[in-house]
Amino acid sequence: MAKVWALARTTLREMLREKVFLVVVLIAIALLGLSFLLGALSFAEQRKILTDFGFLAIQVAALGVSLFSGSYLLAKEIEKQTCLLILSRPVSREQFIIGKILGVVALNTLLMVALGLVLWVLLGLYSEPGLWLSFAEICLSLWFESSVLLCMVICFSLVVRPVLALGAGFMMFLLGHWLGDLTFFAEKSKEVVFIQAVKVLHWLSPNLYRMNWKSAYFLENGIPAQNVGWMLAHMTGWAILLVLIANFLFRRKDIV
Amino acid sequence: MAVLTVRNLNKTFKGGLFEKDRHVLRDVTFSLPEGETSGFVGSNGSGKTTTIKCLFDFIRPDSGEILFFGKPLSSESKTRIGYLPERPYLYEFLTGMEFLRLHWNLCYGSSLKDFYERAQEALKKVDLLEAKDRRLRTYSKGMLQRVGIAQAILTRPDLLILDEPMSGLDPDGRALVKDILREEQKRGVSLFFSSHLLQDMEELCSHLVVINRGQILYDGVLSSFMAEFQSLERAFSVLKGREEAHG
Repeated sequence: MAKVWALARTTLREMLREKVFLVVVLIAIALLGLSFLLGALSFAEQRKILTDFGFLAIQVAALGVSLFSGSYLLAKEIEKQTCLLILSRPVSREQFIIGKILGVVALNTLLMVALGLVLWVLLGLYSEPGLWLSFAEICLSLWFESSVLLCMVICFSLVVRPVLALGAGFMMFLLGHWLGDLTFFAEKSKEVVFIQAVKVLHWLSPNLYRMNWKSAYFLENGIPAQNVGWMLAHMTGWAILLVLIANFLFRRKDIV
Repeated sequence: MAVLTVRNLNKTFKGGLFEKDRHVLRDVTFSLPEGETSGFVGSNGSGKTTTIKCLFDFIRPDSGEILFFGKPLSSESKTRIGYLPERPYLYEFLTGMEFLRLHWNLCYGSSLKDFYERAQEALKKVDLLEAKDRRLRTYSKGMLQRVGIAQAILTRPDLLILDEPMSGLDPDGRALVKDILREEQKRGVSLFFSSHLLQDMEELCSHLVVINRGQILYDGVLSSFMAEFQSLERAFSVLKGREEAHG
């Protein structure tokens, strides 16, 4: 485990020193700023707008880091052959992948904690302890979403070029969120093929639409415990599956 | 005992839709005696780097057997081996010291017992002590090669495998690397390094492995080889000529 942490620490150090994540942080800050401007348009809706845009900012930052870093994380190591020296040490390919993933997850966690604290202060939640749990649950859902998409993009990057992996990861993000709407349209259409296809898609993609809680409604009213439980089980399962697939693909790869 | 034994190593890279398969290694068989310096010589594209990558399972051979210290490659044997690839692309965002610490952690976990002493020793040998806190991005090519050697010797390995360690270095850099290799020789380390510079082989090696087009042409004592052919260059040309005539 110490070797995995050493690799995770090095990956985190790389991302902090290379400052790649600054672009998404700037975008997140811009979104937060925009929420203030839009909130000024309607005083009554100011808190709702700030909440919605605030969580959106966190989601964009985490997703940006996951998709961009994930698509190049292993591809860069293989192309530049920087992984050769690492793998010549008593480190398995599995440990290498897990270490790299944990490094990016650590960066995402730091980002989300920082942006989450900013939003928490902006919303004045320090004086509303009753909302802390739902706030934490919403942030946790965004954390899981970014972590699972990171693992997915890494799997893709082991098979296709990084740019394609990035695109495929983004498409899976959209699909995961559109599954709810696709289900609605399939049921409305009553087309058997369409209904079956959407059922298959439910198995092939994380059901992100079922944990889309980043709004003022969920912050104020809370999230049912069984939904949170479902999220933990569903996303943990996806993460484990994707890490296993990534390990399988990387183990078979010749580093030429 | 042979420190490294390779038997019947074969590797073919599958071609795509419009490309033929490439048979890169054909029944590669050789063994390295313990405590000696073995050279691995061949032209560009002969299969030297592919063979070395197969040793560490970076490239999975189609068939064959590879034994380090009499056993298949394992975590235990990896702690006894130091390796420097042909083009040591390193993590440029790390300092020299951080880079060595990473390799130490990968071998010994989080324990830093003896690390600072060994790191100082390795950096002093490669003349990089003053640059240890600078990012690798600021290092010259020669310095990068030397810090690569520093990580290879950091754990005092029993076997050093270096893929073209003097490639791209100026005369001073090459002299320094040769001095480092001679010091490791005195320590009793088994050395295995590849090069297409025959002069380096003559200066440093007692054992020689010659490869051409994925096949081993010679595996034996350098002095016998030289006795037959007088010079390594001539020997290499003759062997290549024989092999191409048969092939």
